[in-house]
Amino acid sequence: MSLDDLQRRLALSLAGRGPAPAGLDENTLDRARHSLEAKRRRAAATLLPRLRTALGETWGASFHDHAVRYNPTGLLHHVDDAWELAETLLHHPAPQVACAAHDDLVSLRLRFERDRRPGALRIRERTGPLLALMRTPTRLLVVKMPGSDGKVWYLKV
Amino acid sequence: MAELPFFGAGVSYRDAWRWDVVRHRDALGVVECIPDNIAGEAGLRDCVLIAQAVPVLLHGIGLSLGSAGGLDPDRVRHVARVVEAVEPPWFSEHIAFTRAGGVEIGHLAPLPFTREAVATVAANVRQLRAALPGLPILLENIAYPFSLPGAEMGEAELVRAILDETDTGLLLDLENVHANALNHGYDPIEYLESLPLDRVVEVHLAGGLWQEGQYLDTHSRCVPEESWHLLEWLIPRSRVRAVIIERDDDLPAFSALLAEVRRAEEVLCVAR
Repeated sequence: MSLDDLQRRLALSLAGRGPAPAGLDENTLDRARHSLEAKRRRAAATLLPRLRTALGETWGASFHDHAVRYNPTGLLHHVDDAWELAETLLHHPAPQVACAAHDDLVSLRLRFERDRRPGALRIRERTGPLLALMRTPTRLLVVKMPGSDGKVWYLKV
Repeated sequence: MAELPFFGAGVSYRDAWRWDVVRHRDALGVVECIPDNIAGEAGLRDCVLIAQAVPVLLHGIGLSLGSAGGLDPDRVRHVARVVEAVEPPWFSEHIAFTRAGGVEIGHLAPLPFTREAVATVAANVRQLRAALPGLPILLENIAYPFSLPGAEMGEAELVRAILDETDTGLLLDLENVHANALNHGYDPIEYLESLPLDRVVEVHLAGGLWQEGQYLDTHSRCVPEESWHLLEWLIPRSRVRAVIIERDDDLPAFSALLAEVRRAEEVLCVAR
């Protein structure tokens, strides 16, 4: 097996989308898979605190469904990962989950911009302005001025 | 590598420590920043400001120098841009791959111990060097939870072959040596003796934890005594210019980190 082939198979397997390459123990790979998913989950929990709380005991299972489906990309792939998860849960049937996803996404959008296309620079510092509504714990209008250090106001509405 | 300056001990930079790093700059010989974490002008400006207070090293984590598919030109350009702004004394990356077939692994994955892997890293380092003309490059040994099939040599032999082929220095992560020795059942000193110690420029120290019968290099604990012993063994046998205490998770108070920096500095001083 060529190095290219071995690396492709290993990457797919570690992402939970393929069997272990020949010659590698499936249990060992499984442990590595769990460890990688746990790392992604911890990073997402830090970036999506409201969603983590709103999902409660279902957080782990929800993240697992997302992790096997989505392949984060770019320099800040943990931000891309969290962004994608929050976006997919925007229309969750439980209103508190959808609301938490929306507000966490606003928090991410205050700091970052996300390109539609995957790539190294998909996630970048936000330099443009932002006007958004946050709904928890109280309704706030969030205003961010342009510039990478643009001032932010939280206005009660 | 012989002319590279001495910096002493320092820490890996985290945003949470921005002001601590500046406030305690006299206690830090050096700070190591990760260009992959710099997502725009504000991040770059922070890095340049820190470099005005303390010498800054740049340490890449996502170039994937071991990828058979080659380097991502956007990532190489990004690193070159940060290097140009910060002007570090060297740039370091890992002997590993982090993506293949369009999948971003999100962690450093090991290379098979083969001649093809050596040639792949060498080709990628040539491409990187073209983007960072004149800047010394260091390569770091990684912790690997499993070995890939088809090995034609041992791990130390792979590291040595890659350093020879690429004419790079060694960033020796002693916690990775400690973790690998525990997980793969070898003597860490014997492993160190088989490395080209004259090429060691920088050392990383960190702390991990046991999980499901495996020691994981999580960078979430203080440096274990075993790794301090490896540092004490190494320092008189090499010309280490910088020791970095790494911490990614469960960030402690900065004072706890400074105590580890002081200890590393003491070990370095004994040899000087």
